[in-house]
Formats: sequence, C-alpha cells, structure tokens
Amino acid sequence: MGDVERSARAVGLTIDQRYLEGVAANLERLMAQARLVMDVALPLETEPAPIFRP
Amino acid sequence: MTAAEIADAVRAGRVRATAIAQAALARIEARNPALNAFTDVLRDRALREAGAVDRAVAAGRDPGPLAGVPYGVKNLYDVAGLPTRAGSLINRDRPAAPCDAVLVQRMVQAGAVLLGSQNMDEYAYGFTTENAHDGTTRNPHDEARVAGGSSGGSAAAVAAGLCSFSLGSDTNGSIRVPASFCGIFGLKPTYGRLPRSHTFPFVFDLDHLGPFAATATDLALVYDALQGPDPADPACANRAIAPTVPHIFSLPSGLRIGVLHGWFRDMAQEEACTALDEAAAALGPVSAVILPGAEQARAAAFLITAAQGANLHFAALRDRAEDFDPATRDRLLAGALLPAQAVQQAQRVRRWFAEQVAEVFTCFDILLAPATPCPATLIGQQTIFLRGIELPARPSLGVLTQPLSCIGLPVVVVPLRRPGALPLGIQVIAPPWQELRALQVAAWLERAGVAGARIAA
Repeated sequence: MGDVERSARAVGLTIDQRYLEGVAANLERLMAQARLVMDVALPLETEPAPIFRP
Repeated sequence: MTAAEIADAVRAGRVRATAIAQAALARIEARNPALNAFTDVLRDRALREAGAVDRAVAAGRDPGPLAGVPYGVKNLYDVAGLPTRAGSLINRDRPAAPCDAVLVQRMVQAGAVLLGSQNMDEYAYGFTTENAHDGTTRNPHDEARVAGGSSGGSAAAVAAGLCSFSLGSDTNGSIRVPASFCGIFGLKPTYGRLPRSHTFPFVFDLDHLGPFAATATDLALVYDALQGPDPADPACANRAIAPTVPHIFSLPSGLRIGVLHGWFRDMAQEEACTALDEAAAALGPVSAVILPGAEQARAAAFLITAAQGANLHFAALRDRAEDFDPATRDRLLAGALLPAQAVQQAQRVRRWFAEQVAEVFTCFDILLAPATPCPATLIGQQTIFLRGIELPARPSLGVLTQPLSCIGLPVVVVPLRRPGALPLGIQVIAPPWQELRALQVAAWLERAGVAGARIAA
C-alpha cells in the first residue's frame, strides 16, 4: 500500500485505484507549497488568522 | 446602455423595465447556446420583477437605484426555487433554495431584474470554467478561449452584453481572473464587507462575493446597493454602508502609487507587465514595490483552500467521489490528506504577510499589479509557461490574485484598452476597507481612456 492510500485510510477515506495517480500528483504539488510556508521562520507571537479581520 | 443609463431611463419613465428585460432575454436566447454563460434562465421571474418595477414607476413610487437593470448570478448564489448547484452534479440532489441569497434580496430591493444563474468551475475550484457537468463557458472575444473562472459565466455574460452586471465570488481570484480574461471591471471587496449568507461556500476563511460590470460607475452603483452588514454571516463586519458613487470621480491628488515587482512580475508574462506599465505611467510617477512574502502567502492560500475545501466536501468525497468533476476531485482528495502542521503554519503565515503588507501601505495609497499572468488561455490548454517553467494552467492562472485575497485586501480589476489584442486587466489594490480609493483609480483610468470594458457586438 502506498503513502497516499495509507494517509487516506488514516482519515477514513478509500481512494479508488483510478484516482490514485491524480491524487498523488496533487498531493505532491500541495506538499511543495507546504514546504514554502514551513520555511518561514515565524515569531512565536504570530497568531493564526483563521478569520481574517483587516 | 450602461446600468446607470438604464436605471435613469426606467426611473424617469422613458423606458419600461419590461422592454429591457425582454431585450436581454432575447439576446441570451441568441448568444447563450454558443457561449454557455447562463445555466438557468429565469424568464418568468425576470418579467415578474420587471413588471413590478414598471408598476412602481407608474404609481410614482421609488423603484430603487438599479431600477430595471438586468443581471445574473453565479450559480452558487441561492435563488428561491432552484437547487444551488455550485457547478456540481452532487448538489442537484439538494432541495431547492427556499429563499434568495442576501445579496440577491438586496438587488430585488434596488429594483434590479434577475435573468438567471451562471456557469462556474465545480465548487469554485478552478480558474477556467471548464465544467464537466455543464460544459465550458466560452470567451465572448474569442470563442476558442476560456472566459476564466471560477465565475466565468458571470464575466462572459457581461462581456457579451447579455446582462448589465453579474454577481460572482472570489476565493483566490475567481472574480479577478475572469474579469481580466473577458475585458470587464470586477470588484473583490475587503474580506467581511459583503455578507455571504445563503450562498454555497468553498473556503470560509477566504470566500468573498462581489460584482462585475461594464463601467467603473456601474461597478460602484451595484456595490453600493450590495453593502451593509448581516449577522447571518459570522465573517461579515458590522460596518455601515460607505457610499462610493457620489465620490467616484473625486480622485485625491498626490496619491502614492506603487507597482508591484518581485513575485507579481516574475510570475507574469511580458505582455502583462508591459500593459501594466503603460497604464501605470498614465497615473503619473509610480514606484516599484516588493511585497515580502507574496510567494509564501500564495502557498498559504493554496493550502488552506485545499484543506478547507476537502473538509467541506469530505462526506461526498468518501461516498460518491465518481460524481465530482475530475478536475476538482483529485485536488480535493489530495487536500483531505494534508498534514495539520502545514495548514496551521499557513494560517500563521497569513497573519505575518498581512503585517508586512500593512507596513507597505504606510508608504503607499494604492498598489498595482497584473490581474492574470497572460491573456485568456485556449479551451483545453493544460499548461502555461511562467518564469520559463511549464506549470498546470488550472491552478496557476491565479498566482497573482491569490496572495491578495489571502489577506482580504480590496481589489478592483480594471480592463485595459488594447485594440486588436486579447483583453487583459490590472489589479488596483487598496488598503483594507478602502474600496472607494480603488474605484476612484478605476474611474480615473477609464476617463483617461487607458481603461474600458470590451463588450462583444
């Protein structure tokens, strides 16, 4: 079982074999974006902005 | 006729709203089969609403500031009696909406006439309006090309002259990208300005609603009628209506204008940069500005979108994945697998980026950037080249809009005059709650002849 299938099981999803390749490609794209945000050295004081109030 | 001209003529009794509605319905009948901008045409409702306006005028009552002006809404707005499909097959099993979206209710109050609902990318997750269930919306200026998305039907309808304005939504660029591709004006107000009540959500933290129109004045006229708080949307700010129409031609002198460089130039093709520079030059002296963290902000919006979109649709992804549009299904399934760590970091990066941008706005009143990296892509086109790198088209057309909606800034897309070339728009970006300033710049560029909507004959 591949990483995508294992991750899916962990959240209660079974991904059809037909979609696995497309999902893996999209997850790879997301993780490349995730690396960009993880590389930001944030001060501990920086709060999340789940509802942004300008 | 512009929306303002129609409203004036109807209010003065020179034209009947019913005649305007009938002409618009006839134009939809003639052009919509080719363009596929409207998914539902509401002939009976339109004629009923127009008739009510005509009776109000005849009785000497005020028919509202948008009296008789025909419009359409993206099909994620609730329209009483229709299932709110939000571009999906799955939602068609839901019961018909019992009432109109709050913004549609406000349009009824203003005397506007609803013609129907408009095509979009499934669940607003895309920038092209190539929809597996409802078909592709074609660009009225070149039918081999997309109209942009996800509010593509709404933009194409205005650009084809099928209606005077449309209401769309913008989570990552879904008003701004199609406005640029179709050559019309679009407004994404500050996050929390307009209530989203009774519309189908995509990403609660990033969803905005806003109008498209053919002139800056029309955009302001519609925006003014849309404003006002609503407690039913927890993100909607409790702010009084701030009318823009009376002030739209009073651009303050000495505005400090910045042209965004860095990410906003690196990720735009040369044609878009040149067009922006020419428009900016008309405004007088401008400075080059970098928004530190724009790329990271775009990444944050990308991650939050995938995670929240997947969470919203989780039950359907688990139980009936085959019923999704293939273009959105795999993206949403992947979003369900994102580690919490990445999503939480993304939320904190938003705050950090907002602080950087607030600093920049202490030195500038308005920022300018291209709205899209390139003009409208071809239908079916899978990739675009940016920075010499081949990237998937569907998610990448919003690279220049996404960092700005990530922190809720108000943006007007202004269509540049480009005779003989495909339409392109620029983003006029203001500080939070300063929609008026962006609208003033849009109106100024229009009056100066630099900008103007292109409406297909």
